[in-house]
Amino acid sequence: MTQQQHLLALIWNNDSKSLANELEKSGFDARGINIYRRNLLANAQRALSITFPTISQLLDSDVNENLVQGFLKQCPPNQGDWAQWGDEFSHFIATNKIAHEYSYLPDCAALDWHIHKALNGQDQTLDYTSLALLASAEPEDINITLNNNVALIKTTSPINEIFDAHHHPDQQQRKMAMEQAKVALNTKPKKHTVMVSRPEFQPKVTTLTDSEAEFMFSLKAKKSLAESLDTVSHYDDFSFEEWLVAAIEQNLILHFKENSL
Amino acid sequence: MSVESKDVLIGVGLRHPHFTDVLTQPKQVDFVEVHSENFFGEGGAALSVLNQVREKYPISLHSTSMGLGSEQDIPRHYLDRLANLARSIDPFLMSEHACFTWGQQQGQLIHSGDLLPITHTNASLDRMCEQVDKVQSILGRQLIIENVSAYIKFDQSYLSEAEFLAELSRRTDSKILLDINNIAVNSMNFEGGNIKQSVNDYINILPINSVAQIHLAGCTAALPGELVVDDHARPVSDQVWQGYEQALQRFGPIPTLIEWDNDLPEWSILIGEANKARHIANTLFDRKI
Repeated sequence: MTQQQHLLALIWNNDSKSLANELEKSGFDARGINIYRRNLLANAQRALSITFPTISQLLDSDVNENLVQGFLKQCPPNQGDWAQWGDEFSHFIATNKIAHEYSYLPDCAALDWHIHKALNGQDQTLDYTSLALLASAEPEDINITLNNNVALIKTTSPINEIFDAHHHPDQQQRKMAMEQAKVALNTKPKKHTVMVSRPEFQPKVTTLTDSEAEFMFSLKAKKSLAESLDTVSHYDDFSFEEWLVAAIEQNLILHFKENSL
Repeated sequence: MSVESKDVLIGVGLRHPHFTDVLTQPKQVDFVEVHSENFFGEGGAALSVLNQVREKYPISLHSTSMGLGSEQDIPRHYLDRLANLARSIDPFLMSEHACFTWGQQQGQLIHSGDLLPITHTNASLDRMCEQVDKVQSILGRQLIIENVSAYIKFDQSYLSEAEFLAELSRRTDSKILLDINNIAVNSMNFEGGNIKQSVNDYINILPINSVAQIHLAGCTAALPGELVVDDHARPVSDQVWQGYEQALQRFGPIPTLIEWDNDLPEWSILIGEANKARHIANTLFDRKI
């Protein structure tokens, strides 16, 4: 093992027994190694608390130390920008015993992650010239490409309400969202879809109707406009015209494209 | 924005909580420095703010994750993001640290998230020269490499850090970022704490024209028996101000930055620290304040 590997192994070791032995053998000043060990944990906690603010608040402070240690070991950061670390955090929480007690945590983490990604995602707006395609081409020949900052999360937990309960700028709204979340958690779970979008710089979270969700999942799967409309033809609450106006307002669409091209 | 002044340029480290201050208050410093990695996103509000700041201040890009001394190669995705940012911001200075950050754990690439110390040997010098050459070639810019605070010493080192950096600068045509507080921290932790002497010994090894920037910072005092941690959470200490004066006397009017990263004070206090630096420099070089 090289000197650098040896140092990293000491800093990343979270087994206290073997660490004591390794430290003694290394000849390094234990006080120095412990500073690096504390820095690692503090940096990881800080990074995850910024990326996953809801999880951080739900766990009542910085993201729980054991959870962070476990995540560092299983999915260590491999990019210089630690803000990009956390893609697997939702899955990691789902396999952790904490999810047995708080089953909504993994989906709350997924929502935090997608909001974080959208916050730093490429600035994209609709190519308005491509709208003309709606008048010149048939729906089966049109594809709608969604903005890269749009994410769809299927869940049975009230993650939108939990998010609002912690982050809505208005205190009264936070209180109401907390009540709604509590009610939802005490009733039979219902499958639904939550969407993250970024109208301007601030990401927005919206709970979709079943028809909107099916339509958008179909677009995401690169199906044509005609096929996507077919998937929601059995709903009587879906109107493409209404969806289009809202989608333009919320900056959900990147462009319309002729699928033969 | 370009930099043309022949006076000592004084800047401050810009962090998110001060974004509104820097954009709305009159210009009080000559430049600002940001951590490159905080702007690695492809878009969003932070990058938009940085572009607005750029209209008002020259920007120095200070990287903290590159790990130029790593045995592991710096991943291409990191360098691509840095190169994109440099192209878009066009900084007047770009700097990094003489440390390692990349390694492997159980066969996986990891990033340490810290400025880990390296041995100072000819082999590690060769390795860092190789990486600096590569990065400068990708960026098409000169790098400025900073001395670091360390909390352990390597028995294998037979060069001092100053000798190491002087030779690195000579061989790669890079420059040196002299962090006076890091010399002070190492002095207190390993050299008995005579900071004036430690700074003197350090700067006398560096060639006069090798230093391109100076960093000043403060840190929390250590508890008895513990090591000092370079936390950038306090005002610059009297001893570091004295070391700054020693450095200016040797190297001349070098761009100087006040770093403050934790327990951030109000913008006005940070500006106050910058004004102290300006006062010292102006007094030393006999310029009107």
